[in-house]
Amino acid sequence: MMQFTVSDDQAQLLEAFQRVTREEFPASRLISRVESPLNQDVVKWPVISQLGWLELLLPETGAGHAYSSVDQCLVHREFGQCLLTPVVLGSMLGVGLAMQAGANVEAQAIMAGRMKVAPAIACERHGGRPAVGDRFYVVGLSDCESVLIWNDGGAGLFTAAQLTDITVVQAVEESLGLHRVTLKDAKPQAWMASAATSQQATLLISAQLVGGAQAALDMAVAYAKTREQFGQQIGAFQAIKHKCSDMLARVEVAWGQIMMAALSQGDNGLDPFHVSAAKVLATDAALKNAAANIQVHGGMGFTAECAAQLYLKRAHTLDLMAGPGREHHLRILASESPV
Amino acid sequence: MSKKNHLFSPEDERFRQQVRDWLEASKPRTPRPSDAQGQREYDLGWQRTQYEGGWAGIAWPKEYGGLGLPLIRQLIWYEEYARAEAPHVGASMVGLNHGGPTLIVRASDEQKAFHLPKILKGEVVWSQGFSEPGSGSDLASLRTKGRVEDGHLVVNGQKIWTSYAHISDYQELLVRTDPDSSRHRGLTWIICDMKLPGITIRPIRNMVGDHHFNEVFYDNVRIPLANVVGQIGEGWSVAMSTLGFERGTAHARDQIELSLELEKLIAYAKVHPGPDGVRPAIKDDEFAGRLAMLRAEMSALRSLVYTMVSRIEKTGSPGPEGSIVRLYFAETKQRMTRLAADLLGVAAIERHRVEGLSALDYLNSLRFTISAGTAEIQRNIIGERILGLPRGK
Repeated sequence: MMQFTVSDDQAQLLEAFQRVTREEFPASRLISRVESPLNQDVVKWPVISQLGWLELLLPETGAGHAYSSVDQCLVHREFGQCLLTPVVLGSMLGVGLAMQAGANVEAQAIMAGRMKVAPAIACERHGGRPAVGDRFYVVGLSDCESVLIWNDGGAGLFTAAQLTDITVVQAVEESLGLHRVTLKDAKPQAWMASAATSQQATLLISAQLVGGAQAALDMAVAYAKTREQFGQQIGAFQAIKHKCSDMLARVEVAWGQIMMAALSQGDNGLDPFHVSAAKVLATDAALKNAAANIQVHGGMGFTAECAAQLYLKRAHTLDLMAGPGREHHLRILASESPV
Repeated sequence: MSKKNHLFSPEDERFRQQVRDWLEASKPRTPRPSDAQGQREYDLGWQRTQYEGGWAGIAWPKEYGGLGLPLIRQLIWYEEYARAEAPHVGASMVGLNHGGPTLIVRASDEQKAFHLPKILKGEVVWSQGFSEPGSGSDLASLRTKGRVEDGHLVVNGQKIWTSYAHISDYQELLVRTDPDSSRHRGLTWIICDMKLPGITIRPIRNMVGDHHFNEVFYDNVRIPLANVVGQIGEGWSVAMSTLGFERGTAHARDQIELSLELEKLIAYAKVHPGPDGVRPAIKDDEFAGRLAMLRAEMSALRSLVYTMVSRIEKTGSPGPEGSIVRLYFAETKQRMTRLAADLLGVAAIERHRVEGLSALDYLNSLRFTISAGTAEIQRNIIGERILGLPRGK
């Protein structure tokens, strides 16, 4: 049977990523970010590019190592845990898309860190090829040279010159760098008419959501072990302990389903049922764990100075980026019996 | 699995096919009787059929009559068992899943040679005498006494929640043999012959209306000391013997069974009207959302079972993570049976089943967050043993 636990090789891989993420991308960087227009993750783009992160979704990376779907999910779980900007995901997906579409110049430029790709969220959820007049939210547009639009029908790269009515929007997640735009030229630079990018994006976003759920759990547990009230650590009270236990259960449940989805990778790509199931469970884990972490922290958890809020806001963003729950519910029910 | 599944090796899939063929040809086709003796005969008869077919004790060691197969094969057996809708293990439960495996790990050669074949062949029913009226979640506080007297243990006290005590031949009985001891020390695990004089059994009807558990009273019951498993005073460690080859995989069956029930609900919701009385229930946003979430949750439940099997293969034990599987199974089952009741609409007021559905299943599901460790105990285990949170004062 396929292994559902993390192998020794995978643990090593994860450790290598964690050495960088914990050093370069601590969650605290985003608290000061609230007041600053500068995306600090984009400032570190040369680091991200040199580490080879941008090419790790490719079947064969520059270093000659191919990351399996499970490996990719593990890496994105870590990205979610440190709340790495979604521009990284956009760029990673952009490389693969450009390669497949034969846009090698663009692919090389993204891998080299010269071109960044902003992920877009469609306002019109028709699922067909993007049309003139379609509106989108774009994350990190002012930092990027390209925009990635994906839906069930396909995925493609566009330039800022193809957009109009570009308006700055205040996002619930302040650090997002959000614009609302309208497509005025619908001819993409690269377009692949396949659900593959959409499926992959949904799975990787789910992995990031689980990373955020895990980070919220870790933060709540650490606090419950140090904070004292009524003469003992609050983690000794079942009201707090059981909240933490439920947080762990949600992480395990969502991660288990992500493994199911990643292991469903076959010649026909990922299984859409497993991907949508992973998405709804990961969203559930991320939103509920983020809220529970705020509750465990009490008044402090509600402040802008505390990192707890960051996980809730990111969960909110990623949930919508991967498509609202209702769309996934319909996909889940449209699939043949999974038993 | 109807859907192509490449999680298993081709050899495992061939084994799956053999299991499927045999179950399809051999499973009982008559409904389980509702009377106690009828249930005993039905459950033991089905176990005997499995033994004669060469399928009893899939993961039991070969020297005790089992097949000695790896855990994956047992998982596959349970999945196919559920898929075939073969009868519940019923009264054979304690012998096969608890008493027997404990004997394998801790009993003497004589005890094993006498009891294990009877269990596998479906000749005996076992029950479990652990819980007491004052000792539920806090099992180690139990007070039923065992006094050593001329080669016997003389037992006085009371047990409760003893499933199938009324039709059982033997019982795994946990008693306090050191009257000055407290908690986990001074307990003894003994095989009690349920026909001994001094045993009184009082049935307890559960809230669904069924009778399978009981109170058992012991009035100077004299059990030969030869029936002690392990040593006098070692009872706690015998009762807690971890059984890497058995624990956990039974959820593979629960999980498939639950998934199949959900698929029936989805089929029901496609053809029966929803709240507007016109469109099928599945076209209603709320029902669709709940059905979809449950379908996702069933798949996740399966992944938890597979993760546990992977962990047992790696470390030899399911670990405290087993509590996550138990908790999730129980709560998912409760959500699903509640949804079934809601889909029935006003007809849910009846006990009578409508196309296999009844609100009684929801009532019955409430047992799963109480039995085999309450949801609160499971959450304590998760919080303390996995997350390292402090115990309360």
